[in-house]
Amino acid sequence: MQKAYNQFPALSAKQAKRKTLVSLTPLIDVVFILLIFFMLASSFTKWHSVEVNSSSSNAGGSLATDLPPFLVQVATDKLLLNNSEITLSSLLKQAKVKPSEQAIILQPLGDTPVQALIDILDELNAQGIAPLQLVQDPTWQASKQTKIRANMPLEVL
Amino acid sequence: MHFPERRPDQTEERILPLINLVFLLLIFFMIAGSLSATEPFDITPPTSSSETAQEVETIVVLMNKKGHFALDNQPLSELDLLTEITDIIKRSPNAEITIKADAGLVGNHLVSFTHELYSIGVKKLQLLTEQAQQ
Repeated sequence: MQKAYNQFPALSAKQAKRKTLVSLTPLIDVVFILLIFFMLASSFTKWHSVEVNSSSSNAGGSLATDLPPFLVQVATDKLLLNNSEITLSSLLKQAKVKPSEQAIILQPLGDTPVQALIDILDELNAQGIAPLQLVQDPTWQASKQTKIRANMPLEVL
Repeated sequence: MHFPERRPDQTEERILPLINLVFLLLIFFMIAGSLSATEPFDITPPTSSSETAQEVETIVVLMNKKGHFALDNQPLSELDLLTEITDIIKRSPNAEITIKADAGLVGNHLVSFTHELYSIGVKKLQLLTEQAQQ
């Protein structure tokens, strides 16, 4: 090889370069496409979870029934403790001093969205207040439309 | 005449750092990002400050704003969903169920659904949330 190079400098140099340097352009194309695919398809959302207890989950459990109820009703713009309006801070204060075996019953009022409920649940969880139970608003009825829709197989979404 | 012959080599050498970078980015997205199946409907989960990470290996039930259900990314009616879950509970009684509900869903709808799940024998339920903006 060395000898050939000396004999035909220009031609041999050209050939050597062609052998060693594979064209990078197709490789870069593919890598770019892969990069764009992974950039668009991957998600970086970090999921968290909140535990949900309903009253039936500890039916027949150790919950004392002779204690007064601690019913917190949640609406989007207000909070009710045993049917009287209360602020979140005073609710947390009262919840802290309640007997530890007394469960807080959380009840969404009417059409309160899940987010409002989770916000309150979050605050109580952050203070380490337990046990918590979720109950349904007895006056709430799934609107006929929702009920029919929920029970029907979905053709169009 | 020698000038144009040298040129491609120089440009290839010049784009090498670019290729390195693109490779690094590619590897980053491949490893750090997670690919997930597309869900049958749009769900914006509620935000919470909960620190509990989602437990893997749970059955995920989707519930959208209108109260439509889906299990394993398959849209189902509520009755079909409950029969499916009853079957799962029969096979593995300690199965945990994760509900991924839309933040705008009516709270009572979610609560009544959790009651139904508990009544068919589900022992542990969790609600999926997103990290709240600090």
